[in-house]
Amino acid sequence: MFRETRFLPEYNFMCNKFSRALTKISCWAIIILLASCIKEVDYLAPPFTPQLVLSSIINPDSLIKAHVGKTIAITDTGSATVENASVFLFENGVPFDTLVYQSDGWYVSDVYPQVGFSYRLETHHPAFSSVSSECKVPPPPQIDSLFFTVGELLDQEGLPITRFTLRLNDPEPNINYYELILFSGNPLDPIIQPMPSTRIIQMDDPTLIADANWNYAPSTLFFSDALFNGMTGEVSFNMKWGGYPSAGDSPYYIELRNISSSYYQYLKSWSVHRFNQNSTQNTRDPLTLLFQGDPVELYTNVNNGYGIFGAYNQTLKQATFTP
Amino acid sequence: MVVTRAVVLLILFFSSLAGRAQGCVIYGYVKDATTKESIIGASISNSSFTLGTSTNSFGFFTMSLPKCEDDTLVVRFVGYQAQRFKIDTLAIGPVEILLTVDNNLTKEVVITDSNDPTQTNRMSQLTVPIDQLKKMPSLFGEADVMRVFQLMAGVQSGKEGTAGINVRGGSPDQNLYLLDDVPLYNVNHIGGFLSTFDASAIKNVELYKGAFPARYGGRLSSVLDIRMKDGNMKKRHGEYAVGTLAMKVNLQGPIKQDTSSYFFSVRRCNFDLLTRVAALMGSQGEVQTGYTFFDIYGKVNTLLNAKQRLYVTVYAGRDRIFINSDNKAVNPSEYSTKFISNIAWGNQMASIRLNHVFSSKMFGNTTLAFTRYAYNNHVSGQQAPYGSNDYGEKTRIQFTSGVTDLLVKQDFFLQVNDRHSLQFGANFILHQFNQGKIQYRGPNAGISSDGSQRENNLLGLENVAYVEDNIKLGERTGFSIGVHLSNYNIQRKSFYSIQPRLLARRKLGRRSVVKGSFVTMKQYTHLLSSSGAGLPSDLWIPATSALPPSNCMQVALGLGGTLSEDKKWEWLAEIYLKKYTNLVEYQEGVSFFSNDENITDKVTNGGIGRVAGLDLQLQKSQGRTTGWCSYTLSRNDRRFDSLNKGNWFPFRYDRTHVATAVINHELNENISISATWMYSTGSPVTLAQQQYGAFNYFNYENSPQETESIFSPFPSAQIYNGRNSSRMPAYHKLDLAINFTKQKENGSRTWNISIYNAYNRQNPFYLFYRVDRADQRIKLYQLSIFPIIPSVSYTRQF
Repeated sequence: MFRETRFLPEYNFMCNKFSRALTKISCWAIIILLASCIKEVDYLAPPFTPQLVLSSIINPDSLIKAHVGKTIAITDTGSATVENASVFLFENGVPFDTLVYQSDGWYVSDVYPQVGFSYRLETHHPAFSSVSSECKVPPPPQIDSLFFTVGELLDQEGLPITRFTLRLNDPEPNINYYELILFSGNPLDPIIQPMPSTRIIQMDDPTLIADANWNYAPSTLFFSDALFNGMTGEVSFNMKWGGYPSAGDSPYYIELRNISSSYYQYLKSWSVHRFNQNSTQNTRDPLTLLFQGDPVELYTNVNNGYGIFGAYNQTLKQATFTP
Repeated sequence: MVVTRAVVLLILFFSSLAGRAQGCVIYGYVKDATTKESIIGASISNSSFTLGTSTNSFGFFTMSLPKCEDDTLVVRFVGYQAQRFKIDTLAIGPVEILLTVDNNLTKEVVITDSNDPTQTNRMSQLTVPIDQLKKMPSLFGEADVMRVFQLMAGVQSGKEGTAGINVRGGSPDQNLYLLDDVPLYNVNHIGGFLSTFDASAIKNVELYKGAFPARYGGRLSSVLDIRMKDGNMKKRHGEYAVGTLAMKVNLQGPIKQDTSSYFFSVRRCNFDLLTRVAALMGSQGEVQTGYTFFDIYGKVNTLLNAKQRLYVTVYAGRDRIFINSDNKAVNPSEYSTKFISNIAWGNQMASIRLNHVFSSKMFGNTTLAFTRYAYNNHVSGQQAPYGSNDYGEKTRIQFTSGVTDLLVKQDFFLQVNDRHSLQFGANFILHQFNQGKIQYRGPNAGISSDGSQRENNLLGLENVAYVEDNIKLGERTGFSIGVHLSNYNIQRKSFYSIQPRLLARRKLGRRSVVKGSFVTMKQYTHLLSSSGAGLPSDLWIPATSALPPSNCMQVALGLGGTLSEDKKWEWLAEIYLKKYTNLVEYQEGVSFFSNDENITDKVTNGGIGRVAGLDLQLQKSQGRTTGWCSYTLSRNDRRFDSLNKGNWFPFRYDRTHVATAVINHELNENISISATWMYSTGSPVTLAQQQYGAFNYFNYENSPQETESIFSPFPSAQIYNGRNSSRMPAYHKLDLAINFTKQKENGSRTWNISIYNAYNRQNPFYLFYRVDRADQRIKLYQLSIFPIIPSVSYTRQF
C-alpha cells in the first residue's frame, strides 16, 4: 500500500521530470514513426527601429560602469555593442560625471556610488533615441546568524543533505529585496568560489518558494522580505551532499546582497524569460519547447530602450557548522 | 430548493401557454426494420407537411394533431425509405414504426438538420451519418467522427493532425462531450491524433455549435451528443477490422428477440507492438518502450414492459506509455539499475437509464451515472552493486490527477398540444477533483519536510434544472424559449446562474428560412493546457472563489434553405458574436511542469474574450455525388490584465479564414471514392523578432570572458512584440480514399485505402529558432509531423 506523505518538493519535481521525460520520449517515438520533418522556414521579420540597450549593476565597492548595446534582428549574429555613445551620470538629480568608453561597449566612470544616493544614467547616440534609467543604492544587509547542519535530512538516494539557515535583520518598514550567493573554499585558502545554484535542492522555505523562481533554474537565489518585513527573517535552503566538515572549520560562505527593486524585478523576469525562449539556444531538443510556457518579455527599467540599471550592497559571512 | 421551485413555476407558466383544444395524439417509436435499433432524429409529419416532429435520442416521438380522421403520417429518415401510415390504422398505445433501409444510390447525406431546416426549431447544429464517415479518408485507416466535424463551417482543428475540435473560437475544454447522456472529460488519445470515439460503436452524433437547447449546459462553446448503438434485436452480427493504427472487433445481437439486445466493442492500438520491437533492437534488450491504448464499449438494453425500457452502458478507455529498463553495471564503480515507468490516463463511464412512457404525451428518462478521468504516472527504481543481484527495496513515486463525477438526472418530454412541446428536467452532479497528488514509498519514506502540501481533492456539487418550450405559430414561425438554471457549490461557496436560451425562426418564401438565437452558457471547470496539443498532462481544475466559473454569451443570425424543390442542394449562412468572461489561462511563462505548490499560483483569471464570425456552407445531399464545401471567416481575441501588458491578443485558436471541401462519389455498388481538402490561416504564435544582450551580472562577475550561450555575461534576450503577434504558415492538405466493398455469403467486406496529406504538404506543428551549425546563423525552423501517409484497413461484417 502506498502511504500518503508530506513529500519533499524535490520528489514533486522528480515526478514532473519523469513525466516530462516520458511524455517527450513517447511523443518523439510517434514523431519518428511518422517520419517527422524539421525544415527551415523563410521568415520575414517586420521592419523595426533598433533601440539602445543600457546595462549597469552598481555597488559601493566598484566604480560605476555601464554597457551600451542595441537591439538587432533575431536572426542577426552581428555585433550588438554601441560605441561612440555619450553616457552621463547624475547623482541625486545633479549632473555628476561622464562615462568614458573603454572597449566592447563598456563605459566607465571614476565614481564610487554611495549608499542612499540616487543615480541616473542617460545615454545619447545620434543613430538612436536617447535612453535613461535611475536607481538608488541600498544599505548593506544585516546578517544576524548563519549556520548549517549536515545529515538532518536525507535525499532520495539516502545521502545526507547540507542545510543552511540564514537569519537577517530586515531593518526598514518598506519592502527590501535580497540576493544570496553561496561560496565555498578551502579554509586554508583565502580564495573562495561561488557555487552553482544547481547544487541547491529541496526548495522548502516559504520565502524562497514564494519568490525565488526555483522552477526556472535561476543563477542565484533571490527573495523579498514580504514574509518578514521589518523583523528578523529566516531563510533556509538545502544543498546536495558535500561531505562532513572537520571540527571548527567551515568551507561555506554566503554573500547576501540587498538589491534594488529594479534589479530584483530583472532577476526574476530573466529566469522566466530565458526558460521560455522559443529557441534551442538553451537546449538542443526542439521538442522541449512544446512543453514550455508562453514566452515572456524581459523586464526593463530603461526608458525608451531596453536593459537594466540596478544596484546592490553586500555582506559576506562564513557559515558556522552546527553538528 | 430554489432551483426546484423555479422549475415548477416555469413549467406552470409554459403549460399555461398551451391553451388550445386537444385533438388526437400519436406516439411511439421509430425503428430500423431489420435490426429494431431505434432511429434518432427521424421526422414524422402529417400528409400536408404542416405539422411535424422528430424522434428523440431514444427513438421516441409524440405528435398532437387537431384531427386524426383521414390523415396520414409520413415518416422519413436519411438512408431509409420514407413510410406512409394511415393514422386510423395505428393501434392505440405506443406504436412501432419500422423503416427499411434504402439501398439505391441516391440516398441523402445530410450534414445539417436531419429534418427540413425551414421547418424545425434548430440552428447551428451539425450531424454526420456514420456510414458515410467510414468511407471518408482517414489517418492510419481509422475513421474518426471528430475529423469530419473539422471539415464543417465553424469547427476547426487545434493543431496539425489532432482530432480535437475548436468550435466557433472556443477551446477544446469548452466542448461538452456526452456519450449516452454522460459527460466524458478527455476524448483524445495521445496528442489528440485520434479521438476515443470508435465509429463502429456509434449510432448517432450531433454537434451543437450555438443555439443550445436548454437541456445542455456546463460548457461554453459546443455540445457533442453521441449515442451508442443499442444492439441488433433480431439476429447476431459482428464486425472486425484491422488497420495500420488499430484493430477492433464488435459483436451485437438479441438477448431475447425483440425484447433485449447487447452491443460490445473493443479497439486496440497497434503501436506498442512496433515500438517494443524497435526499442529492444535499439538497446540490446535493456530497454522496452511503447505506447498503446484501448477503448471498450458495452451496452445492454431490455424492454421491461410496454412503457419502460432499461439501458446499461459502460465505456472504458486508457492510454499507456511505458518504459522498462534493466541496466547491468559493467565495472565496480557502477550500480546495476532497474527502472519502470508507466504513464496511463483515460476515462471510465457507466450509466443506467430508464425510459418511461407516462402517457401519450409524456416521456421520461432517468439516468444514474458515473464518469471518471484519471491520469497516473508511476515510476519505480531499484539498484544493486556491481556483480550483485540484491536490488533492495524499490523506490516508488506515483503522481495522480483526475476528476470523478456521480450523476443523477431526470428528463421529461411533454407534448402539450400541436403547437407546444415542453422539455424539462433536473440533474445533480457530484464532482471530485484530484488536482495532483504525489505518493512516495521507498527506503527513505520517512523523510518529510516542512513544505506545505497543496489541497489535492476538492468536492463540488452541481445542481441543474431546465425547461424549454418549442412553440410553432402557424406554418412559418416558430420559437424555442428555455432557461437553464444551475447552482454550483464548492469550498462553502455557491455560484448561481440563470442561462436564457432563445431561438426564433421565420420561413421566407418556399425554400428559405431566417433564424436567430441568443444563448448564455456557464462552465464550472477549467482545463489547464500547457501546449494545446491535447497532452495527458492537461489538468482539470474546478471553479472556486479564486477561479470563478467562466461565462459565454452567443448571438447568432442565420439564413438557410434549399436551392431547388428536390432539396438536392442546401445552403446555410450564419453570423455569430460571442463574448467570454472570467476566462482562465496559465500565467506568463508558467507551464504544467512548473512546480508551484498552489495551482492558483499558476494561473490568471478574469480574462475576457470576443469572437465574431461568419459560417457559410453549401451541400449536395442526394445523388451519386454528394458533399459539401464550407467557409468560415472569424476573429478570436482574448484579454487578461496580467498577460500581454493587458492588451488584446489573438487567441491561439484564431484562424481568419478556414475553407473546406468534401466530395463523395459512388462509382458503382461496390466502389466509392472520397476526397477532402482543407485550408486555414496559420496559427498565431509568439515569435521573437528582435534580440539584445541581456546583462547577466552573475556570469559577468564569475566568467566575464565566457561567450557561450547562457554562461555569457550577455546571453540573448528576445523581443516578441506581443503575445501571438506572428503567424505560422498557412495550413492545407488533401486527403483521398477509395473503398471496395463486396457482399459475401454472410455479410460483407470492405477495403479502405486512404492517403492522408496526398500532396505531402509540410504543415507546421510549431516553430522555433536554432543556430545553424554550418554558418552559425540563427534561423527559423518548423516541425512538421504528418507527411503523406497512405493507410489500408480491412473491415469484415458478418
